[in-house]
Amino acid sequence: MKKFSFYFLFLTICSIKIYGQQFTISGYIADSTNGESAIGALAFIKGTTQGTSTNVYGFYSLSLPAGEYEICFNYLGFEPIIKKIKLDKNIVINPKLSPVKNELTEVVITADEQLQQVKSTQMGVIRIPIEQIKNIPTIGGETDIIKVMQLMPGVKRGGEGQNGMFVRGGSGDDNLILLDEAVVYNVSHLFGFFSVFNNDALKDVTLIKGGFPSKYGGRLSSVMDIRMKDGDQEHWRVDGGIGLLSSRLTIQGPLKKDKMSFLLAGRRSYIDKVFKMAYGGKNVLPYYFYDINMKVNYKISNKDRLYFSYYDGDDILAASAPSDSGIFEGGFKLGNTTFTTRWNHIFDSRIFSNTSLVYTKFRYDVEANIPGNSFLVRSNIKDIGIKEDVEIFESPESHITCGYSFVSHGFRPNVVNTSGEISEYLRSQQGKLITTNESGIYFGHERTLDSLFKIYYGFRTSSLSGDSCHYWGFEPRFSLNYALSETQSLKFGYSRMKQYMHLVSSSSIALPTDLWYPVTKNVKPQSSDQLAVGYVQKIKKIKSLLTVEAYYKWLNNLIEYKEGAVLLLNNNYENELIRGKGAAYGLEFFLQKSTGKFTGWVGYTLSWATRKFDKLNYGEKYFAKYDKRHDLSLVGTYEFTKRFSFSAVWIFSTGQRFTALKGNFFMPNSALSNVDVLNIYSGKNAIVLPPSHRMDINFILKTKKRKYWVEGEWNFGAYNLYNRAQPYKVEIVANDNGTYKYQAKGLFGFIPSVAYNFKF
Amino acid sequence: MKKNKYIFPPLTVLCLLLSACLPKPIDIEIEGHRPTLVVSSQIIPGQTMIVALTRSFSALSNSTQGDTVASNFLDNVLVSDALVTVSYLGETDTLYMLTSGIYISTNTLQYSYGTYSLYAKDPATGMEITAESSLLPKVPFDTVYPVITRNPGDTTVRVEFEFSDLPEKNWYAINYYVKRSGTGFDINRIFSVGSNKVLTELELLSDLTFDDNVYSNETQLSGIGPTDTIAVAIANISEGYYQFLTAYKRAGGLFNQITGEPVNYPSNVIKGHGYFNTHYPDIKVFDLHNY
Repeated sequence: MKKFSFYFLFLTICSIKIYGQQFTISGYIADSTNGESAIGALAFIKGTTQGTSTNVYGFYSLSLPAGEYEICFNYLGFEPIIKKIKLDKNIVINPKLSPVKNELTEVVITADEQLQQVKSTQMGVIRIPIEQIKNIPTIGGETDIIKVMQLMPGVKRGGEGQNGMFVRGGSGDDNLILLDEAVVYNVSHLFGFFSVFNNDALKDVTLIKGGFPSKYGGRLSSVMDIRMKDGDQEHWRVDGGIGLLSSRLTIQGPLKKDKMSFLLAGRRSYIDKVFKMAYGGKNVLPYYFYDINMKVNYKISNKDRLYFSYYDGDDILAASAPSDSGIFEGGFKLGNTTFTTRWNHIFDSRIFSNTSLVYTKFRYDVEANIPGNSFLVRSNIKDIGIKEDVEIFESPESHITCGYSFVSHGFRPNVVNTSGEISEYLRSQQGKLITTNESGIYFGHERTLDSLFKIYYGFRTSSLSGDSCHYWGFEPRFSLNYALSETQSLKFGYSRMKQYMHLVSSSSIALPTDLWYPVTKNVKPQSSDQLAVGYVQKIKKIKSLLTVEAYYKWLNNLIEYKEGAVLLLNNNYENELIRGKGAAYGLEFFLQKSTGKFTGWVGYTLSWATRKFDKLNYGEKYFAKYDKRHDLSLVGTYEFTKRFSFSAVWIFSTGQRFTALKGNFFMPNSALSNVDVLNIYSGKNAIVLPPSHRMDINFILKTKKRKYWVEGEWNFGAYNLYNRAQPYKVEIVANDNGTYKYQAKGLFGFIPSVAYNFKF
Repeated sequence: MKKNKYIFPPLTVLCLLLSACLPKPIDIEIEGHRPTLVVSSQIIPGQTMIVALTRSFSALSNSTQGDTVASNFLDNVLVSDALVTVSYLGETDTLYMLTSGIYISTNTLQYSYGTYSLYAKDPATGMEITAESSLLPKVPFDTVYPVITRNPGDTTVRVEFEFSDLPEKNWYAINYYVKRSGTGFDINRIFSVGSNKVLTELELLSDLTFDDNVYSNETQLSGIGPTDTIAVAIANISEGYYQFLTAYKRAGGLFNQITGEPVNYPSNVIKGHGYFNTHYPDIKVFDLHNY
């Protein structure tokens, strides 16, 4: 038995080498204009669909039997490159693709990204090119990747203008958002109206809603993997933009050609300055935000590359006003810092590894000072971790991924410093440092079984250790692709996810006091199990990809808050939490066109999301707040000429739900000293607001190209073109006849915007 | 002219922003509130049971949106001439109407652990409710006394108390209230929202958190005058009534008033609201000028 085991192990290890007489073509695919690596670009044998795609670092590896081939490199928006090769040893090819000059030119190729999605086992994934995101109109003319993702099927928006994302019936804290591998805890500026992501610094955004690869874990509902640009490796460049609410500037270039490049991007809002100037120096609106993104990449050798990514951003409110006791000064500051160091190493032409050291800090301070009294409330989260990801490109039919991660989370909520009379009511406290260690080991294998079937199977084992608790979870992942034809496939997927932390917020409005807390011995990890089936078709006639997916998700150990829970400065918040379960199911339809003069998509979702908690809604099942039955997005951009294009977005959705105050009754208090008026509510989330719909538009006019001059682009846009209220709040208001009624109010009406973008 | 040039860009921005219009709000049609009967009750140690019977009303009523309650509104809310009975140990007492909305019985015997079944029918609307409550044994204070600190600017009072916890699971409510020296208790203003209320504190305890079967603690009261009268009452209450009072406290909390999150009140009234509770309070009164 021992001998047999040894021989079996030996054969398994050597299988890579003994797999026929195979040689490998590998390398990095990049953009010729700036050297940026191309994520998801294709390398395949011309005339076949046998090939592979680049990973998030632009690396590909294709192993084939010895012979002569024509290899084609293809990427959306770029001219393909075809090379003839004689494969009799491992070779490295690093093609640099040039942008398409004439979109009307038909290039006959047998594989493209849309076909890749048809053939892939991956379900529930959305990738939008950053260039396409920039043209989509949004509020105030500020392009925002999160607002764009909210236009996707399966992704529900929060209140008007808010950055909340509720993916396939999940909650706002169920989304894992990564910026170059580092977790970003707070993704919003200005209470959720803008995201912290500066598009000029970004290269790729991928949203995964289901069929999660085993590499990802830690959240129940979605993963948004955001990759920063590496920095132009060919030329020095300056990009920027001046808008109504903020401006930005990006500088990038090679520090050493073909060896090292950098990128530095900054953004700041200046509405505070505008109002100050307009109001004769008075600080009427003392609020601003800023972001800084920095990246340096260094090619040590053909096999080793180093990347350093840094992000820092804050929201700052600093107000002062005269009062009876003197000058009142107060405000808040909240923001994130992330720092990642990554090392890519190619072991041999088929094994690629990435090692990341990650650091994240999220903090907020709220303070106020008045002569004789002051207080400061501070909270922060600090993550320090290491991740290792290995990819084995065994063959065109077999791709293995494996790795581990270890992150130490340090939560320090509610550090309070007070002085003066106020300290009698609000005592200083050091706050409790809660440290947890979260780790995961994963394995995944995508294998083409035959011409019809392709499967992905894998697992992730996760664990969390805290002061007095230890949890672990086994998270299987599986998906299957059945090819109906060259351009159509059926897919099936299952994934289990676990979440070891949650956002504590008792209000529906994003407040600075919203805090992340880890699980404890009393608060167990949440989990989800998701089944999905889908149909994908590339429609060649209209160069579009059609995806239809149905899903069912079970949610367990969900956390909610007792009614009337007080979470502000409450170190015993656990007593306010209750557990329950939920379910979400629905059907998504997505038709996307990414090439040609007209690009855009249609997204429609029909969905339900329910919750059940013994201590809420009298123990009866109820609909989740963002259970919106129908959600439709129509997005389109048309390029009339090289200089002039037009974008429009029209969205429609069933109203979100709320709990209405319906009646009152008198009740003496327990001491019978007075009588109070108590409220009677409808069932929890039983009332649906009116449907919301709106149209946003954007005209883009590029300035004429002149040699040695700035290339500019004017954006003229309008948010909510026909000024329809997008209900975000319900109030009881007086009628003309003296009675009262419920009314839903919108936050923003028609908002025009102007912005100027430039580059040189 | 230069000065005007600098003002022009921000003014342009302002104009663009100000040209943004606020959209017209959208009216929401919600099914109207159907009134129900509302019950509250109190036992006066001895043999008296008081039941207050009112009707709930729509939150869109113009009376709830104003500052004071009109008298004809009260006529619609207070239930008159209702049939109110309390059954226990095979006996049924009919409570008589003391005034609109208040029904009283002086014959109802009070048995510890006795179960009392309330029935009420509103003749005007035909609405009926039923409710059940157990009379839990009285738990008196073993000791209770105020500790007064008189400062030049104010007086602070700390109430120290101790009581013996009964076996099995128990819940307690301790009420503190103040009667100002020289003030009466104005019954005519009792229904006025915004009137000066008597200061109260409500402390809720669950013996699940007790370390011992003798519980002692102290409570700080503020805003007390040196010649006021304070009363401290402890009652052994049911778990259901404890949950009701907990919701009551949370809904009145500052944080909840800011966020406006809904708080539902549990009820043991079938087809109604409020709470039918039967508990014995042990009340101790302290005239502070004697301390």
